Amino acid sequence: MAERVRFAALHHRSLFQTRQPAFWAFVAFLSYGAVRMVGVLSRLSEVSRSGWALSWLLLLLYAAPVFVLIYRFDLYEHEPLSLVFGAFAWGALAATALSIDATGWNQVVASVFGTDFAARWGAAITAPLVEEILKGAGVVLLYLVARDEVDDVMDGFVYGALCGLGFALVEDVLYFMAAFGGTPAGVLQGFYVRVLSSGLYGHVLYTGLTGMAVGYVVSGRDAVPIGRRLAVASGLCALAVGGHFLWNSPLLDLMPASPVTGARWLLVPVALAVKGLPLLLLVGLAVRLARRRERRWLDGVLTAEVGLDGISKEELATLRIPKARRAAIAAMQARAGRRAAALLGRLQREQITLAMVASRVAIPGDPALVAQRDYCRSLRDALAAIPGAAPTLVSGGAG
Amino acid sequence: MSTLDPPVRPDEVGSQRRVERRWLPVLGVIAVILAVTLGPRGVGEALSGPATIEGLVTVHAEAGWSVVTRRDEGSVHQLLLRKGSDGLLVVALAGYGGTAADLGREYAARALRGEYRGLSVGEPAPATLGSGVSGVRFGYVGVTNQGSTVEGIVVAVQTPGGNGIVFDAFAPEGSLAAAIDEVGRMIDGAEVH
Repeated sequence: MAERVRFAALHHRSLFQTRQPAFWAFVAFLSYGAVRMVGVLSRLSEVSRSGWALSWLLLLLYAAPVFVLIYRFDLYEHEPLSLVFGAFAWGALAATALSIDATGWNQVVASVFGTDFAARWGAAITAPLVEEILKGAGVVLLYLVARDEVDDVMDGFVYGALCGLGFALVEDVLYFMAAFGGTPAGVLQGFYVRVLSSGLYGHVLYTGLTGMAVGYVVSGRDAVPIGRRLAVASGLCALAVGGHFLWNSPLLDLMPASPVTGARWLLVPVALAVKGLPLLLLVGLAVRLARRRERRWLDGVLTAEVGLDGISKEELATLRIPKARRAAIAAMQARAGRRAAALLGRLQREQITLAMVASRVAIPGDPALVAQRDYCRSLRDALAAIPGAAPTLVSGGAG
Repeated sequence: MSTLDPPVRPDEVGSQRRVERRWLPVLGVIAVILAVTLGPRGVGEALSGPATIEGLVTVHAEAGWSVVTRRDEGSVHQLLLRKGSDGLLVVALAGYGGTAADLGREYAARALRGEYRGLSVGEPAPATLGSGVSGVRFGYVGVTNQGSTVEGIVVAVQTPGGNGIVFDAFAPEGSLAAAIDEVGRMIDGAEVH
């Protein structure tokens, strides 16, 4: 197929890019997954209606705040909702359905290494590779749909982690209704083991790492050689697969033997922490490094813009620290009302966009950059026209 | 325009050209997904072959089913195939002297009653494998020690070679219907000796 030269637009802010073939591939697999998983989940609901309802209630209580937390992880830019929900839906429906279709790899392991080996190690060998590839494929498709929305490592983490959250949600329902019996008591046991004791570890982390790998490869293309980007991405993917391998493997298995009764239930979170905590700490470090990279990028790009129409020195000082941005908006609302606060938030978002435009253009006088500066100036002017907003507009509430 | 209305965004203008492939990466991702999901059907079938208890029974496993355990104790041989939470246990008794009905009764009395609480066994009915070997079939529902309710179907046959073969297909309550086509094909297509 012929390559096509296209202008890199500022932002494709929606999943619904009907002219992108990646969008249709995404929709096709998602539709397949939806039909397949609705059938599987419906059959499981016949095991116990009360257990079924309790499963979804408990998991939504867990997933909703985690979703919000992940969504707000990016320091400077919240991802478009259609894309974040698309990532979640891919994990919940497409990746789960395709993973079920791929369970035949267990048979391959049994054939090559024997049934006893497969019984002990099959889940550790096949599931991490299969599941991380299928979840990661969704993140890659989202990037191909809206390339400009995955422009740094943290974007990749957000999409990957949300994909992992969707996968974990549906997988937990399958476990609650099948492996734990599906009764309300079984569901509560399953929730204790798979969410309360180990909800911090697992698919959110694994696919967050995979997403970071995607984000690293596709961002900084002008600054970092492809070899280094692929090496770092491979390391991140290996960490994801390795963490998942360790989780599924019989290594470091300190879980109390069945049946677990009484005070021995308290050993469950301890046993799971031994396997999961190291990866959690590593991911925390990776996210911290990614955020530092983001802040350095913002400083590097916007320092040249300070003093021009787009952003002032004081505004940059506020913009680079999320807490300071929130404080400025809160102060603006207290001083000049809700509309002024919303407009200040808009100005801050457009100043982030200014950074993105500045990082993509070749010359300071580029028409797109000039236009974005003018837009920021017009937002500032509109804000200054609101009574009470003007005096501390640039300092974020310092008075 | 009111001073309170935020200005309209300028039209997006890209001033940096970057050659972006649209189709090739998408086709690559699709190829990877298909390889991961469909690969086992080719690779697995090429590598695994049928599940066999030598000289007694051969079961041709459907896609996604894998042998997870084998056990041999004297003249009693067992093979357990699994697909997720669904299972097919194949028990072969070399030189079994009774009828298929006897075998079915003994299996229910010893194996099923030893495995499940609150066992409920259905009335046996005639069954015939694809190879023409006749036997009996009955359903059951029981509760495991972990409190899970399981439903199953047992097919017991006495082979022309004088061996007894039991096929026990089981799944969590409510799930057997989804697996019945596949296990039915595996039982019906089994080669018994």
